[in-house]
Amino acid sequence: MTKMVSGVRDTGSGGSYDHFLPPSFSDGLHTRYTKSGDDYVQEFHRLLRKWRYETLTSSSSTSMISRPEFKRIVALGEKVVPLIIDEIRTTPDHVMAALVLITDTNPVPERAQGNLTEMANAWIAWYECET
Amino acid sequence: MSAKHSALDAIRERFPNLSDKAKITSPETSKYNCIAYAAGDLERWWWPDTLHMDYWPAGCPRTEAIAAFQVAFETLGYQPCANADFDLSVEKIAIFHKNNVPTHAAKQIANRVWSSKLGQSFDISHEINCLSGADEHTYGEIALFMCRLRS
Repeated sequence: MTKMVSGVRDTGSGGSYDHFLPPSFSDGLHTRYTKSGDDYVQEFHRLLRKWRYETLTSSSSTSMISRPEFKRIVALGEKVVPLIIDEIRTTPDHVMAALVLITDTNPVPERAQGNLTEMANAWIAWYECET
Repeated sequence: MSAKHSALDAIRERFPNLSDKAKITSPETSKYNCIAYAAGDLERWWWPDTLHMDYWPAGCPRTEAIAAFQVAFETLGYQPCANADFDLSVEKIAIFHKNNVPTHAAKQIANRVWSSKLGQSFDISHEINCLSGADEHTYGEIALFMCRLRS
């Protein structure tokens, strides 16, 4: 990674523990859901919330990417790449693995492996070069 | 969840064996995971993932096997040991597994007190068996204890 991009920050819980709750109780997407051309955006965010809830206390990235919610995110394809990039600007986590699987590339240098902030910066730099 | 629902209550819902002695000892962060924490690295996520996203010590088998985790900690000077007994002269870690697949690592910080990073969540202090269990979010059973001379 050669380009540092601002915007990536570590995020704590801020004193709220809603992320420990099953998303079906903490988001409103299960009510008044209307089909539209942007369905995939809502679907992406619903899957992401569920996936983050399920994997919150897991250390295994292999287990994380084996979750059905993660596989469905990957199956949404290239159209969710900008959504993932937006997510990792503020919450750099293993949703970045979906970028590897969707784009079949990995711009993260070996020295940055495991450093989620540096990994997110590499992906953001890659995205800004591609668009 | 009520406003009075504490972080520890939320953690206890996932780890029902957690005793009243357990304490949260860090802010919540996804910077590092339990393996990194046990290894003393608070900047990286350690896992032998096949996508090569995470850090794994050079030369160690990049497989999800107890033996691979043992080799990873051997690079830090740890050797297998018999039990969780406290010995002031050594640092101890425990590697957990489910169905022979590693799930977690904890490190001993005092007599009968261990410390763990819970995935992307908090560090906690706890008794050694409090995170064990077969439920979805628990970490299975202890596969291996390792120790190294305290520097």
